[in-house]
Amino acid sequence: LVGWILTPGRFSLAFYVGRLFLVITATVMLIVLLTETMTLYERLAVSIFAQRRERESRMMTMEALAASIAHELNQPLAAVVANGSAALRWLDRPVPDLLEARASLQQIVRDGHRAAEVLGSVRSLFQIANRERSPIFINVIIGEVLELAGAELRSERVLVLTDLATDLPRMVASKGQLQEVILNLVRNAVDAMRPITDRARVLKVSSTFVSGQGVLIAIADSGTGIDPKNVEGLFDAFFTTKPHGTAWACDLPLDGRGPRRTAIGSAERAPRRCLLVHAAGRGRVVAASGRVAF
Amino acid sequence: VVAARYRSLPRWGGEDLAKKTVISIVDDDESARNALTNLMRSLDFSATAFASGESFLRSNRLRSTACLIADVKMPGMTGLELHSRLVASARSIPTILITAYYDERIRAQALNAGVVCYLTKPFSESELLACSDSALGDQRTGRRES
Repeated sequence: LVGWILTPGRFSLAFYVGRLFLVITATVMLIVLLTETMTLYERLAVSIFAQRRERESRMMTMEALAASIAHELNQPLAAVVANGSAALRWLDRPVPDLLEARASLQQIVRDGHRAAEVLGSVRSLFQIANRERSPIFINVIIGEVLELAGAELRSERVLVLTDLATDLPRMVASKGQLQEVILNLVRNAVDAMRPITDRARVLKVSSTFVSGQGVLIAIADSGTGIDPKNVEGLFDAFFTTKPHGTAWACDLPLDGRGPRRTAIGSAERAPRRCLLVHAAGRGRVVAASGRVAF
Repeated sequence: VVAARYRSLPRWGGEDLAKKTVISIVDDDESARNALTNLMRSLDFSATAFASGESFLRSNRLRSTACLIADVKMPGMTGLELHSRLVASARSIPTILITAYYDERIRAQALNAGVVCYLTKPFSESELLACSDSALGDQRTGRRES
């Protein structure tokens, strides 16, 4: 060992330079590796957080959906239970009232069908077939929706005005989803006009061809208008200002690629294939309109 | 409905009708309110249905109603608002609130406001009867006190 230590060249300049280089390279390597690991960890943490957030928002959507379905189903179920109990009571009377019992049972059958309809509409909401795109005439869809909402419109004494362009080309879109969107907007308009008693309740539905962009469907009502501070959230899933009920998403994606949000602005500046909203002064226009690219 | 009422008139006769306890039902859902009216009629109450709190307040049944059954979530006036409106105008009627959408917060609020029961749809006949019994009991003691 002593011999080795005293070997000539052991503490020469070359020896120290060599050692120094070794130390420097080792340090550089260490720093590079550490930085790399840190970056990887950071990326991992960010993606885990993003995933967790996404899952939470999806859970919330599902919760709202489940609550809405439960509400819709509990209504006919409650009617079935009450009518069933009533039928038993009518039969248990000293003189059984068969006519009343029969009427109760008929009501049960009707409520049963209604429950099935609720489930059916929930299923169709998720059905893939609903998303199939085919060439359609927008005006035909609007006509179908207005017919569908006819009873509600009549009972709320809403005057319907249509201004449908006759030069519309066929559009490739999902018929079911488009109907859903328009029906929701019509229902929203009716709801918005319910408190109105001092002026006519007017629903105006129009379709126009926007050159190079698509067809603009506008649904306007003579309601109170959209509060500017609510415009932001309008296309969030289940956004509602109604005190009762859960609004069905009005941001059904028209292109099947997931919900989109868009800036609020004029029709001309809105991007293609998304829903857009016009908000105007009180009592004039509350329109949310759907647009389909072709 | 008219035919059914007409049929039942001779049997339950005018003088009987006057003696029956009057129950009013307010629910915006047509089949739900018809079912409840049917049930209460089968239990020998005189039951009338209203589609909204406003129409109940306007009706002449307001004064004779011994027990009010109202849905919580309705367009316009909610069941809870209807109850507080009655309390505020010193025409308080024992009220049972029903809902298809359970909400702990609203339940606490309702019971605090003096609502007799807060029932979640679908509820059983016995639950409803227990509530209407205590509602009508409340009223009787209330009358005795005043």
